[in-house]
Amino acid sequence: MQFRVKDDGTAVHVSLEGQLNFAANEDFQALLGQLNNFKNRKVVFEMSGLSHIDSVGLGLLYIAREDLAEGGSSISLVNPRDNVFRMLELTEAHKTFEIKR
Amino acid sequence: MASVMSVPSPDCRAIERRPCLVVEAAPSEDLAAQCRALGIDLRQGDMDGEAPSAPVLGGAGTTETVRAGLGSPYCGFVELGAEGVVGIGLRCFETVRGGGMTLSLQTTTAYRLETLELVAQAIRANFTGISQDTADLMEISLAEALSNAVIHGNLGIPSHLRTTTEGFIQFQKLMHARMADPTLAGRRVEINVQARGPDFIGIAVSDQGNGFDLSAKLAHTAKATAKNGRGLCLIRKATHSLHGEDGGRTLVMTFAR
Repeated sequence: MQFRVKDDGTAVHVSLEGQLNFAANEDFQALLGQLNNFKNRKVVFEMSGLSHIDSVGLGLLYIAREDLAEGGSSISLVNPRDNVFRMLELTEAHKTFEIKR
Repeated sequence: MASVMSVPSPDCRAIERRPCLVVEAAPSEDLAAQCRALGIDLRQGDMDGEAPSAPVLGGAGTTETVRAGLGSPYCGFVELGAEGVVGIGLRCFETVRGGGMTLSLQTTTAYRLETLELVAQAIRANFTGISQDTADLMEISLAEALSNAVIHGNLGIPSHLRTTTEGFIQFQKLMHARMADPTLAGRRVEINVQARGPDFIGIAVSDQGNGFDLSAKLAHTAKATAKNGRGLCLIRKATHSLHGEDGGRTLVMTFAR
Protein backbone atom coordinates (compact mmCIF):
# COMPACT_ATOMS: atom_id res chain seq x y z
CA MET A 1 0.00 0.00 0.00
CA GLN A 2 1.16 3.54 -0.76
CA PHE A 3 -0.32 6.74 0.65
CA ARG A 4 -0.14 10.48 0.19
CA VAL A 5 -1.29 13.10 2.67
CA LYS A 6 -2.36 16.57 1.49
CA ASP A 7 -3.80 19.35 3.62
CA ASP A 8 -5.87 21.81 1.55
CA GLY A 9 -6.89 23.92 4.51
CA THR A 10 -10.45 22.66 4.78
CA ALA A 11 -9.64 18.95 5.09
CA VAL A 12 -6.73 16.54 5.27
CA HIS A 13 -6.85 14.24 2.23
CA VAL A 14 -5.27 10.80 2.48
CA SER A 15 -4.97 8.99 -0.86
CA LEU A 16 -4.52 5.24 -0.54
CA GLU A 17 -3.19 3.09 -3.37
CA GLY A 18 -2.68 -0.65 -3.81
CA GLN A 19 -3.92 -3.18 -1.30
CA LEU A 20 -4.86 -2.40 2.29
CA ASN A 21 -4.36 -5.83 3.80
CA PHE A 22 -2.28 -7.90 6.18
CA ALA A 23 0.89 -6.94 4.30
CA ALA A 24 0.33 -3.17 4.59
CA ASN A 25 1.40 -2.88 8.20
CA GLU A 26 4.53 -0.71 8.15
CA ASP A 27 3.04 1.70 5.66
CA PHE A 28 -0.06 2.16 7.73
CA GLN A 29 1.99 2.72 10.89
CA ALA A 30 3.84 5.53 9.07
CA LEU A 31 0.48 6.99 8.03
CA LEU A 32 -0.84 6.89 11.60
CA GLY A 33 2.33 8.72 12.69
CA GLN A 34 1.67 11.52 10.20
CA LEU A 35 -2.02 11.80 11.05
CA ASN A 36 -1.24 12.23 14.73
CA ASN A 37 -0.01 15.74 13.87
CA PHE A 38 -3.53 16.81 12.92
CA LYS A 39 -6.00 17.85 15.62
CA ASN A 40 -9.66 18.77 15.29
CA ARG A 41 -9.64 18.23 11.54
CA LYS A 42 -11.75 16.47 8.96
CA VAL A 43 -9.71 13.62 7.48
CA VAL A 44 -10.86 12.24 4.12
CA PHE A 45 -9.56 8.87 2.97
CA GLU A 46 -9.61 8.86 -0.84
CA MET A 47 -9.99 5.17 -1.71
CA SER A 48 -10.33 5.15 -5.50
CA GLY A 49 -6.73 3.91 -5.85
CA LEU A 50 -7.29 1.02 -3.46
CA SER A 51 -7.62 -2.24 -5.39
CA HIS A 52 -8.37 -4.51 -2.41
CA ILE A 53 -9.07 -4.37 1.29
CA ASP A 54 -9.34 -7.24 3.76
CA SER A 55 -10.54 -7.36 7.35
CA VAL A 56 -7.03 -6.67 8.65
CA GLY A 57 -6.97 -3.52 6.53
CA LEU A 58 -10.43 -2.57 7.74
CA GLY A 59 -9.23 -3.09 11.31
CA LEU A 60 -6.45 -0.58 10.61
CA LEU A 61 -9.05 1.98 9.51
CA TYR A 62 -10.90 1.43 12.80
CA ILE A 63 -7.64 2.03 14.70
CA ALA A 64 -7.03 5.21 12.66
CA ARG A 65 -10.57 6.40 13.40
CA GLU A 66 -10.08 5.85 17.12
CA ASP A 67 -6.68 7.58 17.19
CA LEU A 68 -7.99 10.55 15.21
CA ALA A 69 -11.07 10.85 17.42
CA GLU A 70 -8.78 11.26 20.45
CA GLY A 71 -7.40 14.40 18.76
CA GLY A 72 -10.88 15.66 17.90
CA SER A 73 -10.65 14.71 14.21
CA SER A 74 -13.29 12.87 12.18
CA ILE A 75 -12.79 10.45 9.32
CA SER A 76 -14.67 9.70 6.11
CA LEU A 77 -14.07 7.16 3.33
CA VAL A 78 -14.70 8.36 -0.22
CA ASN A 79 -14.84 6.83 -3.72
CA PRO A 80 -14.20 3.15 -2.93
CA ARG A 81 -14.17 0.86 -5.97
CA ASP A 82 -17.05 -1.59 -6.33
CA ASN A 83 -15.24 -4.54 -4.75
CA VAL A 84 -13.95 -2.44 -1.85
CA PHE A 85 -17.42 -0.93 -1.32
CA ARG A 86 -18.92 -4.43 -1.35
CA MET A 87 -16.53 -5.48 1.41
CA LEU A 88 -17.43 -2.37 3.44
CA GLU A 89 -21.12 -3.21 2.94
CA LEU A 90 -20.73 -6.83 4.03
CA THR A 91 -18.91 -5.77 7.19
CA GLU A 92 -21.48 -3.02 7.91
CA ALA A 93 -18.68 -0.47 8.03
CA HIS A 94 -21.22 2.26 7.18
CA LYS A 95 -22.48 2.00 10.76
CA THR A 96 -19.14 3.41 11.90
CA PHE A 97 -17.74 5.37 8.97
CA GLU A 98 -19.19 8.04 6.74
CA ILE A 99 -18.79 6.49 3.29
CA LYS A 100 -19.28 8.53 0.10
CA ARG A 101 -19.21 7.16 -3.44
CA MET B 1 -5.18 -22.72 -19.65
CA ALA B 2 -7.13 -25.21 -21.66
CA SER B 3 -7.49 -27.74 -18.90
CA VAL B 4 -9.18 -25.25 -16.60
CA MET B 5 -11.33 -23.58 -19.20
CA SER B 6 -12.61 -26.79 -20.70
CA VAL B 7 -16.33 -27.34 -20.42
CA PRO B 8 -17.22 -29.88 -17.75
CA SER B 9 -18.35 -33.25 -19.03
CA PRO B 10 -22.15 -33.62 -19.34
CA ASP B 11 -22.42 -35.64 -16.17
CA CYS B 12 -20.34 -32.96 -14.41
CA ARG B 13 -17.60 -35.36 -13.38
CA ALA B 14 -14.12 -33.90 -13.76
CA ILE B 15 -11.94 -35.29 -16.53
CA GLU B 16 -8.79 -36.81 -15.05
CA ARG B 17 -5.43 -35.57 -16.28
CA ARG B 18 -1.88 -36.56 -15.43
CA PRO B 19 0.07 -33.84 -13.60
CA CYS B 20 3.50 -33.01 -14.97
CA LEU B 21 5.92 -30.78 -13.08
CA VAL B 22 7.78 -28.54 -15.52
CA VAL B 23 11.06 -27.07 -14.28
CA GLU B 24 13.54 -24.74 -15.94
CA ALA B 25 16.82 -26.21 -14.71
CA ALA B 26 17.94 -29.82 -14.91
CA PRO B 27 16.10 -31.62 -12.08
CA SER B 28 18.06 -33.34 -9.34
CA GLU B 29 17.83 -37.09 -8.76
CA ASP B 30 15.99 -36.34 -5.52
CA LEU B 31 13.33 -34.31 -7.32
CA ALA B 32 12.91 -37.02 -9.92
CA ALA B 33 12.48 -39.62 -7.18
CA GLN B 34 9.94 -37.44 -5.33
CA CYS B 35 7.88 -37.00 -8.49
CA ARG B 36 7.93 -40.74 -9.20
CA ALA B 37 6.75 -41.41 -5.65
CA LEU B 38 3.89 -38.94 -6.10
CA GLY B 39 2.92 -40.41 -9.46
CA ILE B 40 3.55 -37.20 -11.36
CA ASP B 41 5.65 -36.67 -14.46
CA LEU B 42 8.68 -34.41 -14.53
CA ARG B 43 9.90 -32.43 -17.49
CA GLN B 44 12.65 -29.91 -18.03
CA GLY B 45 12.55 -26.94 -20.35
CA ASP B 46 9.92 -25.00 -22.21
CA MET B 47 6.60 -26.31 -23.47
CA ASP B 48 7.63 -26.90 -27.08
CA GLY B 49 6.47 -30.16 -28.55
CA GLU B 50 3.59 -32.23 -27.26
CA ALA B 51 2.26 -30.57 -24.13
CA PRO B 52 1.50 -32.69 -21.07
CA SER B 53 -2.17 -32.91 -20.16
CA ALA B 54 -1.77 -31.08 -16.84
CA PRO B 55 1.51 -29.13 -16.73
CA VAL B 56 2.40 -27.41 -13.47
CA LEU B 57 5.26 -24.93 -13.46
CA GLY B 58 7.75 -25.38 -10.62
CA GLY B 59 10.57 -23.10 -9.49
CA ALA B 60 11.43 -20.05 -7.41
CA GLY B 61 8.43 -17.94 -6.43
CA THR B 62 8.44 -14.57 -8.18
CA THR B 63 5.67 -12.46 -9.67
CA GLU B 64 6.75 -13.57 -13.15
CA THR B 65 6.91 -17.30 -12.42
CA VAL B 66 3.60 -17.31 -10.52
CA ARG B 67 1.89 -15.34 -13.29
CA ALA B 68 3.33 -17.71 -15.90
CA GLY B 69 2.23 -20.80 -13.98
CA LEU B 70 -1.30 -19.49 -13.53
CA GLY B 71 -1.66 -18.82 -17.26
CA SER B 72 -1.87 -20.97 -20.37
CA PRO B 73 -0.57 -23.60 -20.98
CA TYR B 74 0.03 -24.32 -17.29
CA CYS B 75 -2.49 -25.46 -14.67
CA GLY B 76 -0.66 -23.89 -11.78
CA PHE B 77 2.57 -23.03 -10.02
CA VAL B 78 4.37 -24.73 -7.15
CA GLU B 79 7.29 -23.06 -5.43
CA LEU B 80 10.11 -25.54 -5.13
CA GLY B 81 11.98 -25.29 -1.85
CA ALA B 82 15.37 -26.67 -0.91
CA GLU B 83 13.69 -30.03 -0.48
CA GLY B 84 12.00 -30.10 -3.87
CA VAL B 85 8.30 -30.92 -3.73
CA VAL B 86 8.45 -32.16 -0.12
CA GLY B 87 5.81 -30.28 1.87
CA ILE B 88 3.55 -29.53 -1.10
CA GLY B 89 0.05 -30.76 -0.36
CA LEU B 90 -1.31 -33.69 -2.37
CA ARG B 91 -4.44 -31.60 -2.92
CA CYS B 92 -2.45 -29.47 -5.39
CA PHE B 93 -1.80 -32.39 -7.71
CA GLU B 94 -5.28 -33.82 -7.19
CA THR B 95 -6.75 -30.47 -8.20
CA VAL B 96 -4.89 -30.32 -11.52
CA ARG B 97 -5.61 -34.01 -12.06
CA GLY B 98 -9.30 -33.08 -11.87
CA GLY B 99 -8.97 -30.14 -14.26
CA GLY B 100 -8.42 -27.32 -11.76
CA MET B 101 -5.79 -24.70 -11.02
CA THR B 102 -3.27 -24.83 -8.18
CA LEU B 103 -0.83 -22.56 -6.40
CA SER B 104 1.60 -23.57 -3.66
CA LEU B 105 3.83 -20.90 -2.10
CA GLN B 106 5.96 -20.68 1.00
CA THR B 107 4.65 -18.22 3.59
CA THR B 108 7.29 -15.55 2.96
CA THR B 109 6.60 -15.67 -0.77
CA ALA B 110 2.82 -15.47 -0.31
CA TYR B 111 3.39 -12.43 1.92
CA ARG B 112 5.94 -10.76 -0.38
CA LEU B 113 4.05 -11.11 -3.66
CA GLU B 114 0.68 -9.65 -4.56
CA THR B 115 -0.72 -13.16 -4.30
CA LEU B 116 -4.37 -12.15 -4.14
CA GLU B 117 -4.11 -10.03 -7.27
CA LEU B 118 -2.30 -12.79 -9.19
CA VAL B 119 -4.82 -15.46 -8.26
CA ALA B 120 -7.84 -13.21 -8.82
CA GLN B 121 -6.60 -12.32 -12.31
CA ALA B 122 -6.02 -16.00 -13.10
CA ILE B 123 -9.51 -16.99 -11.96
CA ARG B 124 -11.06 -14.27 -14.09
CA ALA B 125 -8.99 -15.38 -17.09
CA ASN B 126 -9.34 -19.14 -16.73
CA PHE B 127 -12.86 -19.75 -15.45
CA THR B 128 -15.63 -18.53 -17.70
CA GLY B 129 -19.15 -17.43 -16.87
CA ILE B 130 -18.42 -15.77 -13.52
CA SER B 131 -20.57 -12.71 -12.87
CA GLN B 132 -18.87 -9.50 -11.73
CA ASP B 133 -20.67 -9.75 -8.39
CA THR B 134 -19.38 -13.28 -7.83
CA ALA B 135 -15.86 -12.23 -8.88
CA ASP B 136 -15.96 -9.48 -6.23
CA LEU B 137 -17.19 -11.92 -3.57
CA MET B 138 -14.50 -14.42 -4.53
CA GLU B 139 -11.78 -11.82 -4.17
CA ILE B 140 -13.13 -10.64 -0.83
CA SER B 141 -13.24 -14.23 0.48
CA LEU B 142 -9.87 -15.15 -0.96
CA ALA B 143 -8.28 -12.10 0.66
CA GLU B 144 -9.65 -13.12 4.06
CA ALA B 145 -8.68 -16.77 3.69
CA LEU B 146 -5.17 -15.87 2.56
CA SER B 147 -4.68 -13.46 5.42
CA ASN B 148 -5.92 -16.07 7.93
CA ALA B 149 -3.67 -18.77 6.45
CA VAL B 150 -0.54 -16.61 6.72
CA ILE B 151 -1.13 -14.79 9.99
CA HIS B 152 -3.07 -17.21 12.17
CA GLY B 153 -2.32 -20.50 10.38
CA ASN B 154 1.33 -20.63 9.40
CA LEU B 155 2.70 -17.88 11.66
CA GLY B 156 0.44 -18.71 14.61
CA ILE B 157 -0.19 -15.06 15.54
CA PRO B 158 -3.35 -14.33 17.55
CA SER B 159 -5.68 -11.60 16.26
CA HIS B 160 -6.36 -9.92 19.60
CA LEU B 161 -3.18 -7.84 19.32
CA ARG B 162 -4.53 -5.65 16.56
CA THR B 163 -6.94 -3.57 18.61
CA THR B 164 -4.84 -0.50 19.37
CA THR B 165 -1.90 1.29 17.75
CA GLU B 166 0.43 -0.16 20.40
CA GLY B 167 -0.95 -3.65 19.89
CA PHE B 168 -0.60 -3.22 16.18
CA ILE B 169 3.11 -2.37 16.56
CA GLN B 170 3.53 -5.45 18.75
CA PHE B 171 1.72 -7.50 16.11
CA GLN B 172 4.13 -6.27 13.45
CA LYS B 173 7.18 -7.16 15.56
CA LEU B 174 5.80 -10.64 16.16
CA MET B 175 5.05 -11.06 12.48
CA HIS B 176 8.63 -10.17 11.51
CA ALA B 177 10.06 -12.44 14.19
CA ARG B 178 7.95 -15.40 13.05
CA MET B 179 8.72 -14.71 9.41
CA ALA B 180 12.44 -14.90 10.25
CA ASP B 181 11.95 -18.42 11.61
CA PRO B 182 12.80 -20.69 8.68
CA THR B 183 10.43 -23.43 9.83
CA LEU B 184 7.41 -21.12 9.98
CA ALA B 185 8.45 -19.12 6.90
CA GLY B 186 8.77 -22.32 4.89
CA ARG B 187 5.26 -23.51 5.68
CA ARG B 188 3.03 -23.45 2.66
CA VAL B 189 -0.06 -21.55 1.67
CA GLU B 190 -1.93 -23.37 -1.06
CA ILE B 191 -4.83 -22.23 -3.19
CA ASN B 192 -6.74 -24.76 -5.27
CA VAL B 193 -9.52 -23.69 -7.62
CA GLN B 194 -11.83 -26.11 -9.36
CA ALA B 195 -15.11 -25.94 -11.26
CA ARG B 196 -17.87 -27.86 -9.48
CA GLY B 197 -20.18 -28.66 -12.33
CA PRO B 198 -21.35 -25.88 -14.63
CA ASP B 199 -22.77 -23.65 -11.90
CA PHE B 200 -20.26 -23.56 -9.06
CA ILE B 201 -16.58 -22.94 -8.39
CA GLY B 202 -14.71 -24.19 -5.35
CA ILE B 203 -11.69 -22.44 -3.87
CA ALA B 204 -9.74 -24.25 -1.16
CA VAL B 205 -7.13 -22.34 0.85
CA SER B 206 -4.80 -24.48 2.93
CA ASP B 207 -2.10 -23.71 5.48
CA GLN B 208 0.23 -25.85 7.58
CA GLY B 209 -0.50 -24.37 10.99
CA ASN B 210 -2.25 -25.86 14.00
CA GLY B 211 -5.75 -25.70 12.55
CA PHE B 212 -8.86 -24.43 14.32
CA ASP B 213 -12.50 -25.24 15.00
CA LEU B 214 -14.40 -23.52 12.19
CA SER B 215 -17.84 -24.02 13.76
CA ALA B 216 -16.75 -22.44 17.03
CA LYS B 217 -15.23 -19.46 15.22
CA LEU B 218 -18.33 -18.95 13.10
CA ALA B 219 -20.51 -18.99 16.21
CA HIS B 220 -18.70 -15.86 17.38
CA THR B 221 -20.03 -12.67 15.82
CA ALA B 222 -17.76 -9.64 15.83
CA LYS B 223 -19.22 -6.31 16.96
CA ALA B 224 -19.71 -3.68 14.26
CA THR B 225 -16.78 -1.63 15.59
CA ALA B 226 -14.45 -4.58 16.29
CA LYS B 227 -10.92 -4.21 14.90
CA ASN B 228 -10.46 -7.93 14.37
CA GLY B 229 -12.37 -11.21 14.26
CA ARG B 230 -14.69 -10.49 11.35
CA GLY B 231 -12.80 -12.41 8.63
CA LEU B 232 -14.60 -15.77 8.79
CA CYS B 233 -18.04 -14.20 9.19
CA LEU B 234 -17.28 -12.12 6.12
CA ILE B 235 -16.35 -15.27 4.17
CA ARG B 236 -19.55 -16.95 5.29
CA LYS B 237 -21.61 -14.01 4.03
CA ALA B 238 -19.78 -13.97 0.69
CA THR B 239 -19.84 -17.68 -0.14
CA HIS B 240 -22.54 -20.10 -1.29
CA SER B 241 -21.18 -22.65 1.17
CA LEU B 242 -18.21 -22.92 3.49
CA HIS B 243 -16.61 -25.80 5.31
CA GLY B 244 -13.31 -26.75 6.91
CA GLU B 245 -11.15 -29.81 6.28
CA ASP B 246 -7.96 -31.23 7.77
CA GLY B 247 -8.72 -29.92 11.25
CA GLY B 248 -9.35 -26.39 10.02
CA ARG B 249 -6.14 -26.16 7.98
CA THR B 250 -8.12 -26.06 4.77
CA LEU B 251 -11.03 -23.73 4.16
CA VAL B 252 -13.24 -24.83 1.29
CA MET B 253 -15.34 -22.03 -0.17
CA THR B 254 -17.94 -22.59 -2.88
CA PHE B 255 -19.36 -19.85 -5.06
CA ALA B 256 -22.30 -19.83 -7.48
CA ARG B 257 -21.09 -18.46 -10.81
